[in-house]
Amino acid sequence: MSGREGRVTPFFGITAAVIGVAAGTAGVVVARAAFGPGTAPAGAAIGLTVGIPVSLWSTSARRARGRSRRLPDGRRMRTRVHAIAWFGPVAGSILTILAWSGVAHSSGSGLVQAIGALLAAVLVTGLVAPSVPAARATVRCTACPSDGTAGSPVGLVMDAGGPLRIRPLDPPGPDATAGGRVRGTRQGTVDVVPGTRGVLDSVAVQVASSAPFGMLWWARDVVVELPRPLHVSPRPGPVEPVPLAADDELGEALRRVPATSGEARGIRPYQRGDLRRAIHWPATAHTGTVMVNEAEAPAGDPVVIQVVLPTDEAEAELEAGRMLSVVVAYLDRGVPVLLSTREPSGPVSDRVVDRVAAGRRLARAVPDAGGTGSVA
Amino acid sequence: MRVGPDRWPDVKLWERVVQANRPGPPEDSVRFRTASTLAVMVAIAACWSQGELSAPLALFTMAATAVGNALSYWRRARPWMAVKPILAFCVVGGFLWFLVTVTRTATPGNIATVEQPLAALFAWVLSTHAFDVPARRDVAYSLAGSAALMAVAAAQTVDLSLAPYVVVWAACGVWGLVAMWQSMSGARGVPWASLGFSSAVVAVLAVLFVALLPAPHVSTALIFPSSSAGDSPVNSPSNLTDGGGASLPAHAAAPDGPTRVGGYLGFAKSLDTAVRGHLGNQVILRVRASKPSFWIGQTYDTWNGQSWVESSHPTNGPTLHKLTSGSPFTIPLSPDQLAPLAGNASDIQTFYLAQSGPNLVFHADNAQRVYLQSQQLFLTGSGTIVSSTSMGAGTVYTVVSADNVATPAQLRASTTPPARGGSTPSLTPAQKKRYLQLPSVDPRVAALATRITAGITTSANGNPRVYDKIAAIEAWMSSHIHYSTDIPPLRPGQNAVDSFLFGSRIGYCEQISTATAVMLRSIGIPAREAVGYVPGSFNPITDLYQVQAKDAHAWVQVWFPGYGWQNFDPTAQVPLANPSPGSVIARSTAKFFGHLPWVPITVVVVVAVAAVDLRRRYLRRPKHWADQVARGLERAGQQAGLARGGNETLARYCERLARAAPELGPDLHRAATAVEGSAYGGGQPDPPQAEAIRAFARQLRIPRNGHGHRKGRNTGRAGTRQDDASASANDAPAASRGR
Repeated sequence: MSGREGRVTPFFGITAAVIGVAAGTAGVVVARAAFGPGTAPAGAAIGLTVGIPVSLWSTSARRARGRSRRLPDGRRMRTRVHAIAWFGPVAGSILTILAWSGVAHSSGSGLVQAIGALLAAVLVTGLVAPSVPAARATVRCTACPSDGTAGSPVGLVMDAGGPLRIRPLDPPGPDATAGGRVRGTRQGTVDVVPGTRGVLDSVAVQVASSAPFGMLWWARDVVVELPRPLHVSPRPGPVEPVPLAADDELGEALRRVPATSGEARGIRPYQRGDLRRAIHWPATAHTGTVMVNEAEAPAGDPVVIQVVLPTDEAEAELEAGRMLSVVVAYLDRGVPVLLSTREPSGPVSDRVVDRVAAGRRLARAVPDAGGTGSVA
Repeated sequence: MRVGPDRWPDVKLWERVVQANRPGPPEDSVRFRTASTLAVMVAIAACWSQGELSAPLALFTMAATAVGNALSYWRRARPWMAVKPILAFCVVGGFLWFLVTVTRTATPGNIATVEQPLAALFAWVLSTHAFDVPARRDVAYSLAGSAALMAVAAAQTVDLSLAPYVVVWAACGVWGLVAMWQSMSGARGVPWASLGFSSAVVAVLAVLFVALLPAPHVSTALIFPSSSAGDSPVNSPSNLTDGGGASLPAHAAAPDGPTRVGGYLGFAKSLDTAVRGHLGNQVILRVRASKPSFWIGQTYDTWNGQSWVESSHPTNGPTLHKLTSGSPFTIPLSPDQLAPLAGNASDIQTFYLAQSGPNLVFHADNAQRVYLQSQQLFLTGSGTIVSSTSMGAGTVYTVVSADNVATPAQLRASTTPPARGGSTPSLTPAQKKRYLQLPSVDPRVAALATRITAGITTSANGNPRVYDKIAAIEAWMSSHIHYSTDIPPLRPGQNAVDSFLFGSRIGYCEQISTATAVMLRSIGIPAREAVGYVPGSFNPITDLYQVQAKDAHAWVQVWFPGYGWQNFDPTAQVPLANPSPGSVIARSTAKFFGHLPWVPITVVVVVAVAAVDLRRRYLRRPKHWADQVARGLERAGQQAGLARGGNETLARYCERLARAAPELGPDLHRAATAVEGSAYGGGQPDPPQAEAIRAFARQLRIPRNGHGHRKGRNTGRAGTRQDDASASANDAPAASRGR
């Protein structure tokens, strides 16, 4: 956030004053036109009473928005309660009230006006009342997975303090409804779809309520802390041919399983490619399934992959995805992989044993300004 | 046209419109549909109850609405596309029928001839729409459409007979909205707290709106309502008749005959001040008016000592005008009537007859136009307007009057000749003689009037100070006369005014106004008697003045140069106020609250609050002994000004308490250890030990000076140490904080 966005400028105050005066003037004009000159002071009072607080509220809301978190679509979080998609319901309500007022004053019927007052009260309440539960809405993430993949939905279990609609904003995702009984806490699963790799400690969601009449949604954006970090690995890039070993021109190594020699580690079910002499007959007899001895993989000859991400975010994302594919390809061949990345804390070189670990490392990886490209 | 690519998808505007109007997912909520269906059916029934829909049409549309909604629910996921053209044809056909009907049958000025086809059209459209409501938005449209039908039903309602329908309709509407919210948010159950709060807000807002908004007034002549409910011609147009017996033009006020106007005997060719009927509470008529006024029925100019009669004085010009122009009738100025003051607003009144009445056209002063469904209208020389047809219950007519009511300051400044130039600035001598006519009057009457107005002399500029004289006589009346309808009978030939002023001095409006008029005439002020109705009670809901039989009244009209005839009511000294719905509601509310039995209510409220608080305390009481101990320790510390912190474990808290009261340190430590051991270690002390700890906590007092003591007997050691049960400061102290 730049410093300008949250700053209070005289423009905001002038705007508020102008809006207030405009509302007061509008009140005078409407009151005089509808109810006669005698009601002009009341119209001005109502206009100013409504206009000034609304404009001040709007101004402060803009200020607060300037300080808030920026969302993936470029806009900032609106932490104050606000109405969403309000034009249709508000315009419809105003037209309804005006039409009703027209019927009342054309027919001269006080009963029409009385029922219209009741209708207007219901409409006003229905339009404004959801702001209360929306402002008081609480949402908490109680469970989330540790790992996810960019572009794939990740389910977050959330507790909501009321019947709410939860719309993930950062990362985005489809709307979820925390339904169920009216009182008490209810639980729902919110799917978020991270667009890029990274480590998420929190997510931004929009909690909305339309209680009790369902006429208008009021919402506010909140940051929900995750119970544990969510590592979002990059999207796997295109599978590229990995360098083959010199004695593997026929591709036999791809079918060969590791651990044919070395320190015994235990037994495991038979896999295609296991040697017959590795079969552990007592275990096979005991379990009824062919079991083989397993040994520690040979410690030597790991593949060292150095990931150097470009500074451009999109290119870095593609490069991370490509590297993930390479790592997974090596791991699938049983080749030990030593992954070297740069993380916020500095360069990290460590062995990765599976796809999850590789995803986490790449999720934490940051661009290396001095790098010249990834090397496997 | 394309919208900004940064905010909206790159689609054309019409594509967005099409997308916005695309039907949503099928609505599965049976409750929402049921509520919407019931709301529409109640609105149709409301129109039926107000006579705006015929019974067959109402029943058919209600049945169609129910069946259509059921079919829509059944086919909500697979709407019949073939049905849509049929429904569109039905709707277009209904609209064409409406246009043809209105063109052929609507009567200019008769709004009812438009509203009935309109109600039929709305009911038809809503019942047709019921066959194609698959989605939530469609159901909501049905619910909103019922509101339009209720508006039509309410437009012609002049009483509260629609109230039950409104209540049921509003309940269905709120139920439907809540059901819609449940369907939207997947909630189960009714949010009673939120709904109750919202309902309270709705009630307050509705009352505020009703109170603050000015009452609606008809200002467009095209829709001035008028309709006739009794079209029997009167065989002698100058006579009055009661509305029920149209064939018998008669003196409606015959004491021994049916008056049909609530017992009032004044609406006749004469007003006998010695006879009074029994006025009831029945509603005679309802009036929608720009302002409250005396609704004049007749005026009398000749006093014969016992009765007022309307003379046919030759100086008054033709005694009877026959107006044959049809509605609206333009009322010509009487010879003794001033032209309306320039710039004065029109006073529009619509009268809804609730009972059959005389064929008098009641109106405010200075009637200019009458909207009445009648072929002819008669205008007597004194300005009394008589219909040529009987006027039964349900008759509606509108009168437009010139608002010539002057302020007291204007009347006080009124001089002879008037300052305002006009074609008829003052009464002619013949007219003046007519309105100063008196039979042989006891000279004591003139002497009394002279004595009352003795100090009020004509000013230097020629102002006769008529207004002040009237005010003096009214003041004398208010201080010397007692109002009562139970007066002794008048002997034959006895002068009513003489016996009233110099006899019992007890009477009602006829005696009081007559005596005032006679006294005014005796001192040379032209006056006449007027009968009609006072405005009646104002209903803030219907914005109608409800005139009851007991509101029949007689008052005095006095001629003021430049302002014409002005009303004075010596019977009621309280000036008429122009009520607003807000003032009426405020007054009614104050009256309501003023009559409430506040002492019992206060007692009940206090007891109820105490009961609720006790129950809350009972429900929140610590049930486990550890919670009780923790609560006791916290209470003692709080009394000593050492409240427990939000993240402070009980052990830490007891250490802090022990610093304030060192002599209690070991006991506090033991109590905290035992509680935390019970909460986190699973160990339970022996019952005697637990009881001792509980007693210690209950009786613990830590004075603010830091020296603690135990109330009552010394309970000894509070318990045994449980060393293995101490909790860390980071552990959540939920259990020990008292659940």
